[in-house]
Amino acid sequence: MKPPIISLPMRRRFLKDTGMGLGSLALSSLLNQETSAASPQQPHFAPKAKSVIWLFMTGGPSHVDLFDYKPELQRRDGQALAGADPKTGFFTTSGKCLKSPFSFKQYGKSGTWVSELLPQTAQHVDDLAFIHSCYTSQNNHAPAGIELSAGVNRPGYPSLGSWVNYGLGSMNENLPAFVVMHGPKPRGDDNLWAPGFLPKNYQPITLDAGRREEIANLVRPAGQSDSQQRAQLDILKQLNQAHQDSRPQEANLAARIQAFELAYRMQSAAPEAMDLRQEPQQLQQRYGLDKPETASFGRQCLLARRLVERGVRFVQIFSSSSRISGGAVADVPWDGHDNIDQNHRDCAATNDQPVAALLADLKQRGLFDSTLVIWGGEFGRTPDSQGSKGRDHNPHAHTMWLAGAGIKGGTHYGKTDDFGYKAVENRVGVNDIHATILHLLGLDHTKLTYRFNGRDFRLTDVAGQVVREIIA
Amino acid sequence: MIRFYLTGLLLLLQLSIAQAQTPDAAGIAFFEQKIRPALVEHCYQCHSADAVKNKKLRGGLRLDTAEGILKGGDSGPVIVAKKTTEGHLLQSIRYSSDSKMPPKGKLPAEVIADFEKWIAMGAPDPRKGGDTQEAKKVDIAKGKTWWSFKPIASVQLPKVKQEAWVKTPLDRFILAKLEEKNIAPNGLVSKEKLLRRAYFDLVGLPPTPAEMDAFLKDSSPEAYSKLLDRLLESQHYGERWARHWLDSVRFAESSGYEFDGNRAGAFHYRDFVIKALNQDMPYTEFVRQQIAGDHLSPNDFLASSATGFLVAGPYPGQTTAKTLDTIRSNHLDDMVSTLGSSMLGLSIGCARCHDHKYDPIPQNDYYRLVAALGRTDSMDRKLDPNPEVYAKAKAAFDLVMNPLKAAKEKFERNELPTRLELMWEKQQSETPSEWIRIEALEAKGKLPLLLQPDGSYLAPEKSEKNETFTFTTQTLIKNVTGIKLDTIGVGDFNVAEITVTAASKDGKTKAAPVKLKPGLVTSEKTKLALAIDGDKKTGWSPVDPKENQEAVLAFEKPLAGFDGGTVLTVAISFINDPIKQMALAFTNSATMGLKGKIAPQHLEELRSVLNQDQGEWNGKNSDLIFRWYNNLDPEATKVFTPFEMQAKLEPMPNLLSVFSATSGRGGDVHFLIRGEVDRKNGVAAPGFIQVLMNDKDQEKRWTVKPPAVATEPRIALANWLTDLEAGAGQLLARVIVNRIWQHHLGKGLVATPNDFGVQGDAPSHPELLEFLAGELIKNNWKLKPIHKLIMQSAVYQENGDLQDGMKLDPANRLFWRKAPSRLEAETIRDSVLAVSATLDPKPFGEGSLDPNTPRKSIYLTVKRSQMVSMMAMFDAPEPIQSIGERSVTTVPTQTLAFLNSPFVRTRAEKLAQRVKPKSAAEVPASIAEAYRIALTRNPTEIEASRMLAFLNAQAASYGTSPTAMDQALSDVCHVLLCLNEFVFVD
Repeated sequence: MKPPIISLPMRRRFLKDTGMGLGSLALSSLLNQETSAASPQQPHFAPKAKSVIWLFMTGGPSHVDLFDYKPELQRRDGQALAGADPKTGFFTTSGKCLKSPFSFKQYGKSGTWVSELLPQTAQHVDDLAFIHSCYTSQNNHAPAGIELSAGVNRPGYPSLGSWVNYGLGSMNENLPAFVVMHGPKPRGDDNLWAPGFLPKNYQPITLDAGRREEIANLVRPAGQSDSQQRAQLDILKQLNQAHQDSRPQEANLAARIQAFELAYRMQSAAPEAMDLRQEPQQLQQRYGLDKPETASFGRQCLLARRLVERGVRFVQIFSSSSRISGGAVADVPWDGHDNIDQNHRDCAATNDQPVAALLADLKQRGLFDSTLVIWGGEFGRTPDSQGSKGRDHNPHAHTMWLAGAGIKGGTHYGKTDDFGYKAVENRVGVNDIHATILHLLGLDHTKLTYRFNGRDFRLTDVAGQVVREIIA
Repeated sequence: MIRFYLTGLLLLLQLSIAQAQTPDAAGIAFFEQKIRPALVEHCYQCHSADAVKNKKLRGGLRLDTAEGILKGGDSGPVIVAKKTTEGHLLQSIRYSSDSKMPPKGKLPAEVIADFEKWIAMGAPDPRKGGDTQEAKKVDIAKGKTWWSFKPIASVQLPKVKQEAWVKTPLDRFILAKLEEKNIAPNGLVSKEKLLRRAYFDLVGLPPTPAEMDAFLKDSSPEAYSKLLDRLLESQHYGERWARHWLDSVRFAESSGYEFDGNRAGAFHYRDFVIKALNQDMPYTEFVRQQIAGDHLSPNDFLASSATGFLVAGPYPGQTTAKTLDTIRSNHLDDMVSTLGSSMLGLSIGCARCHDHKYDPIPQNDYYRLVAALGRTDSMDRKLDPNPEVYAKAKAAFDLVMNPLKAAKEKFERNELPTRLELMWEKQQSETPSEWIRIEALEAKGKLPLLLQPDGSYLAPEKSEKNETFTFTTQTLIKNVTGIKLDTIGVGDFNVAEITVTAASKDGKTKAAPVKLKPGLVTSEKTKLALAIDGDKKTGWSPVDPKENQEAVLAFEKPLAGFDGGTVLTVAISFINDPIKQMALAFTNSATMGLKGKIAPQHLEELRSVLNQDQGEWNGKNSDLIFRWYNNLDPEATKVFTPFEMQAKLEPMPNLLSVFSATSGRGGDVHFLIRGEVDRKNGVAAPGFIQVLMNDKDQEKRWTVKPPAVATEPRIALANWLTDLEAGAGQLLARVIVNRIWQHHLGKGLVATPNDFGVQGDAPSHPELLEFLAGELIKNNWKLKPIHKLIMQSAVYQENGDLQDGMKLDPANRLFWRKAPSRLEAETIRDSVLAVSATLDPKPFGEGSLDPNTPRKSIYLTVKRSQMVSMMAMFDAPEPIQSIGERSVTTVPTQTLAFLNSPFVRTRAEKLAQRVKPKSAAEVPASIAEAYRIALTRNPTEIEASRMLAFLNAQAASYGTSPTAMDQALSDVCHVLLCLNEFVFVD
């Protein structure tokens, strides 16, 4: 795409606001929203979703232990898994079926099977659309995670959140369009959310749970009062304005004058958005803020709701776990190589309640119709065992669910084989998932392009098929 | 990945179009849109000419020709035209027979429906002969006519009307275009602004007030030219321009992906670029060294550092057998793509999966170019940056050493045999002893232990608690069976752990632990076994530490030892206080008793050697024999001791680890169908981009040295890249002069500096580009003359005023004005450091990740997962792909950093201290000085009075605090740093 699609009236207003004097900048947004060129752009067609919350289950949750019930696997525990390739994952697997250590039950009108680990999420199954036939091209965390995030399995390409920011911009002048939350930095680091070759204003603000979601440079220098800083800003504005008056053509100068004002306003606006004390005690408890195992992820989920409520486009939470166990490491909590039972119990204990609370809260506030919620990891896990009790990475199959805006609840799309080893029916690749998400946001994935080094790039490269079967 | 089927709606649309055409054409169109892509994607791998070639043809079935598909395979016909119930293709793809095709997964229902429809239509199929992947061949001859692949044209200087405006030949090209469009070029910018512009452009720092005064005072016509010469000679010139180059080569010092491992010696590449620019290395040489420096000048530090170019890209931190092929393919793609974008301005990477969509680059060219780099891998080379320093020291050392060595050798030759003979006879008469007292070469804890006359060691007085003592000795005795620890009773002790390691003296076998088991022991309050259990919390202690103790630790199996000597290291760690006095012994006998006879090591060593070698000199053991014999014979001591003392002084080369390229990785490069690593299609021989080869022998001109010797492919690649006559040299010249122009004028003559292909922008001034490229070549490919030529031109010195040009050329593609430009991230940070006088100009060496480092920003370590936030904030690119042009964004994170970050605030305070007035009367002068430092000009009267009023008001607001005035002045300086004028250069 040449410059992002900006409608003509928008373009005129933008020129008026930036080129000529200082009109009110009602439509520009703070932080990474570029003040010179980021009026919200138009979607290609009427969107079903305004915002996205992607709950990224870092490490690779096991589909056969959570949402993809396989009675055959339970029956054949310890027997050879036909067609198993012990080199499928990162290590070597046994080739022998390992039954799920968890019991499964059917929930809701849809009769969806969910394991005992996620009893609270299970209450919402009729609102969720499951894709059981997801696959990735990579069998290790970083490349697969990057693929899930940016459509390509190597670094350097813009993440989905950056593309959405580029395509649609922000809806709130006071907050960034794209926010990432994480605990320990997930495997793959910034590659998972970087803007790649897109301009830097499409990068997210990252909020680290370890630092209580602190935003850098939001606090005045020590020793300066608000009025002293205001006085400083006033003379700065005067001098900058005089400088700009003799250079009326330079939109960047005007933009920077405004950026100082926006920065000043943000010093109070951002903390407000992040202030969970404004939420009722009861609601905080529903998100699990009062319990050690759910406090951190619960806080992130509640923050996510506050952010989309205030018009943030894209929130991505990289799941951490309050207890790292079963062979996992802190940056890949769902990575139960040695002991799937222990590992998934701990991860689910961190996740289940906050996820369910988020879904309920969005509904209760009427945000569920405009917010797309996505749940999933970078791959699934092998139905055959690693060691005696663990499961290795499985790029051939995993389950994701989507919920909320535009989603047909209670649907199940795609299938894995009888053991959950490979996706066999209606396979859905990463490009398809991205195409679907963009579609729900009103963007045609084949038209959202950016020219870099002589080529028009797309998030979905040369592929991608909208999964219409899960769309309401 | 590609899906060729479309949604129902589009299908209907296309069918309705198809029906409007003749039936025949409609059928062919349907085949082309629906059937051929599906066959190519899903079937050709096993059913095509390529499959035959790759020995992968299955079922004797060819689906890549009309004939083949009608003929069928081993199991009969697969389709019968117009009969959807016959032939087994449809059954196979519906997965309704045993043969389920394609085996990788069932085709989407739409595609299956397409096949049904196609067969029902009568299976129209235009294919004749083999249907290769490349339906449309790239026309190389036509491709060579694209402007950037043509030889550089010799151009005439255009005639212009306004001769007075012209300062250099370059201006004629600019002015001619402007006159053609009736646009008046702008006049010259003020001297102050020109000075500031030149400083930032060439050295990335603002001029100091003194430099400003000197330049303004110098009214001679050569003032500006002299200024340029001086700046081009500055160390900071290389630092400034290296950064532009590093953007285009995705330079970083870590591997990215998971774990983002550090590449400790990667910064040498950055230093190479700075040094090469500063010494004005010819650009061809600059390129050659980066492609093949390690081969062109083996063991040369800078040349090897240069090859960091090839291997600077990201590389996974975790690999598995399954992913290795893909990773390698990506690794090579990174090299080729970076080379293409940075040096040739070509998106070569676009030809990885198919022929380039726009440029005349067939997919095969891509793989042949990959093959030229096919064996390239990264390595940490150990090289001495200043070998001449070592050579000099070594020569001085040898001057002293050689006579000593000669004396020793003479003694060895003439004296030693007889003397050993005598000793051997004497030794024969003595009875062998059970234990050998270790004479350690080194015995130390935190401090050295003190050797006693009886061969025991005293712990240093200042021993710490829980210390570990290590004893190192060398021995020629083979088959050592155990060690014994003797304590001389003084105080309480508890031995936490005893470990023994063995290594070969020649260093070829590294130290390996020797497994121990407890032997005899005089007494145990706690078991001796606890001293070898790997647990430092438990240990051996005796019943009565005041009595002498002995403890034997046997080796689980005898230690074979090494010819030429074994290095034995015994480490003893303690719980609390160490043993005050102790001795060690070892033995090669099977009985390991207590209280047995103990012989000194030197005697036993000699005995063992002489016994083994029957007194013969075998050369391998000479050093050790000498070492042990030395103790016995004063004559030997006279020769050996000075030799050994001098030997210790031997200088060593200063070997640094350089992250660089090597040609060590094996394996052929294959052509890959659709770029997929499991779809190999024959081996690719090294070769180059065909449109950039103009020799009858094609790539052999570079890859083969007559008559028939293969040239190292990377050297061949470097030769081709820089070959003006028949290779890529002309494009190479165009691309680099365009970059130089771009960084001086704000926009390239080709506005897409990384793309000189069809998708790139056409040059705004084609002839000027040719002229500049010609000038570069004429100047022996040196860049500094090009800088000077551009900067001396009127077009560079234009002011930013808005004239009529605004209407006719608002984007300023014709360069009628010079628009203000924002400084890059590095220059912004460096300027803040410079004006606050906190910049440390130390060049080169290891960088720092500390965002507060006082060094120039080029020396910030580029760690992929940990980009220094101020850099990322101000648009420093992610170092993953070549970047030709940085974006300039304005976001509030930047202004927040300027308002609130401690980095900016403390530098504002430093600037305030720099100009601090001695009295109230000096305050206006202080403000003026701050302006001169930060903005290279004096404040206007209005500015001066506004700032003074602001300062007074702020001071008043800080009340009676003694620092009120300082704080207020800091606020003033802080405002100056926040000014747009500080970060935008006119």
